[in-house]
Amino acid sequence: MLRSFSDSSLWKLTGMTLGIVGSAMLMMWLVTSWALRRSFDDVGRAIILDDLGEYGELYARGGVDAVSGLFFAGGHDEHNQILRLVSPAGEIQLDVLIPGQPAIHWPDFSDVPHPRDGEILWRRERLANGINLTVGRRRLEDGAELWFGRTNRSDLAAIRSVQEWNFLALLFTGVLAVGPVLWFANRVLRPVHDLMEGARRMARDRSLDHRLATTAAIPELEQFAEAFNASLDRIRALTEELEAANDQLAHELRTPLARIRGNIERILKQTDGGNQEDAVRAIEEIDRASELIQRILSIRAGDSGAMKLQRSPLSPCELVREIHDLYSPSAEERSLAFPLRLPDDDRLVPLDRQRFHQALCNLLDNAFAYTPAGGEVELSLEFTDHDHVRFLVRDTGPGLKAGDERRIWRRFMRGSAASAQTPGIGLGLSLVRAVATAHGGEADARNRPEGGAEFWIRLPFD
Amino acid sequence: MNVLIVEDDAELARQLVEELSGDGHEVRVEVEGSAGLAAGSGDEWNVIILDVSIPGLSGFEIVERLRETEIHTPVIFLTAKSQVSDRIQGLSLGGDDYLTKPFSMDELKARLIALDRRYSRNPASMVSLPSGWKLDPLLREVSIDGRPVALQPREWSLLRIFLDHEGEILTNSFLLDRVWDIQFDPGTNVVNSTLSRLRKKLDQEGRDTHFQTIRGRGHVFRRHA
Repeated sequence: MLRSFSDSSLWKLTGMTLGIVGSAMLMMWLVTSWALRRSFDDVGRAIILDDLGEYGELYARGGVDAVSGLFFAGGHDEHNQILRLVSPAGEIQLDVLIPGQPAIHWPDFSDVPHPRDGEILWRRERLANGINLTVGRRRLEDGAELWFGRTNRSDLAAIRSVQEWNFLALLFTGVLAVGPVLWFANRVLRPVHDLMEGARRMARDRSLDHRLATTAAIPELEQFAEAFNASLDRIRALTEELEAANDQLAHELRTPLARIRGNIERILKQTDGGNQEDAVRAIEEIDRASELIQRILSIRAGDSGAMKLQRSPLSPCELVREIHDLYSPSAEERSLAFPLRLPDDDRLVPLDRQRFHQALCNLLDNAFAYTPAGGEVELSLEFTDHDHVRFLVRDTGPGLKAGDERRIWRRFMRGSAASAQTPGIGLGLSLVRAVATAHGGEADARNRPEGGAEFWIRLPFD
Repeated sequence: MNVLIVEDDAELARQLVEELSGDGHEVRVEVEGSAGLAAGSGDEWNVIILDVSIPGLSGFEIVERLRETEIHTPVIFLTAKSQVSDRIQGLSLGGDDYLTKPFSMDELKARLIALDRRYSRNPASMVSLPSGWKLDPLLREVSIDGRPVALQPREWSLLRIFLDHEGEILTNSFLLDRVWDIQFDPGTNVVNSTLSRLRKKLDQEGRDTHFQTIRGRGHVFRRHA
């Protein structure tokens, strides 16, 4: 099933879904990263402000000892916090960095003047691995300065953790997004595909037995299939009616012909001389009439798609050879050259042997009737386009007159070159076309540039 | 030969009886399906002629029932249905031959004789050849008074049919069916042309032909007296 979808909408849908889900995931990733970083930055600044206020107040109450006491008690190294206290005289009274992390150091404030009362100077420094160090510097009431800094290492860890969960959630969403694709493939594409296959099979087999599969997933498609099947039911009913009518007609016409033929045969056996000739003519007429009935019914069946074929895999070369063999003595008798041209290779093609024999015989009857003695009728076969077979009959007769190309295929119409002496009842070519159509092929004719006509039957095969 | 005819058309049945009993066969007619089945179940028949469209059981159904009960009397269908599919259905149900109406009595007789020969306990009496003829099936050769004549495959088959049916009138459609496996009559008279070839090859100058054509009926093979 996947193979048949390889160039169909399934891949487009899968591509689009994955594209949309992928872009959404990327966007979400970037936006949350950016938003989280911003939020953590704000939070980080608030912590620094808060701590500067808190440690300033402690300093006012208990001096340096109170500040260092609380700072160490808070586990500053775990929180990546650093603290410095500078006396009003500019002497560093307390300076706590994080042991083992020499990269975290105080930024250079030399380019700015000391902060005024109540003012906070900010500095941010970029350390390795995307880590930032933010430092706030505040002047206390007695002129001392409190420096407080913290890195965003723990923020980044928190962001990473959020993003990891985020990623898992997006991955899950991505997997869920495959759901609609699978649904589409199974409930939408498969029915459409089955519908298509069904229609193709009907066209190929020319059978009225198949029905399109309906699908509840797409109501429009279901309605379409139902309407289509209803039409098929109707066509089938009509076809069966036609078959029954054909049988009835055949019976009604053939039985009286059989009675008459039997009696004339008796007359033929019992008489001689002139009467015998009359009886022979009557029998010939009866046989002609019965052949005519047969052909009309076959063509009628062919026209309405009711021609029942008994197809079996046959070698077209063998079939053509048989027909050539059958007509060779007649060609010799009429002094016609009758070459046979066959391809080097052979295939098996599903054909109704009797019907096809008859179609080819009709083409040859035609060519033999119109080609004068000394002329040539060529019977040939060729495989074209890998999956078509063409049966060709070429003659050196008078060819088709303008307008004949279409006319000759109609019932009871004969080419302009026909005379009263030309045998045939004008149904041969209609039958040829009916047989070709019933096999899913076509029959056509044209004049050859070098003179004469060319008739062919072209059939597709798998 | 004992022949059972199951045919509801009174006129056709009358003609069949007249023709077949005229040839010395024992004939009985049934006009309805069930009666036909009952009669056909007996073992006295050499051949059953069965119309497909008869009231009651159809001809196809009768054959099906007969074959189910292990009755293998040869059956020839007589029918107005000429579709190839009908023919195939009839033969696959256990029928042995199939003849479409209108038909030639000569053809029916040739087919009856062929069927009877195929099924009779003592198969075809040895084909007797015209004097001076010898057949070589391997080489498909006829030697006439020591002069070998090679035949094409179809010419050979045609000759064999004529020898098997010596003295019987064989119609074009019978020969087309048996020699070429073709169940229709092409517009070009292909049988006559092949027959002309056989005449050229096998007839001797100054003598009557072995293969006589009777207009309106068919062809017959006769040995010279």
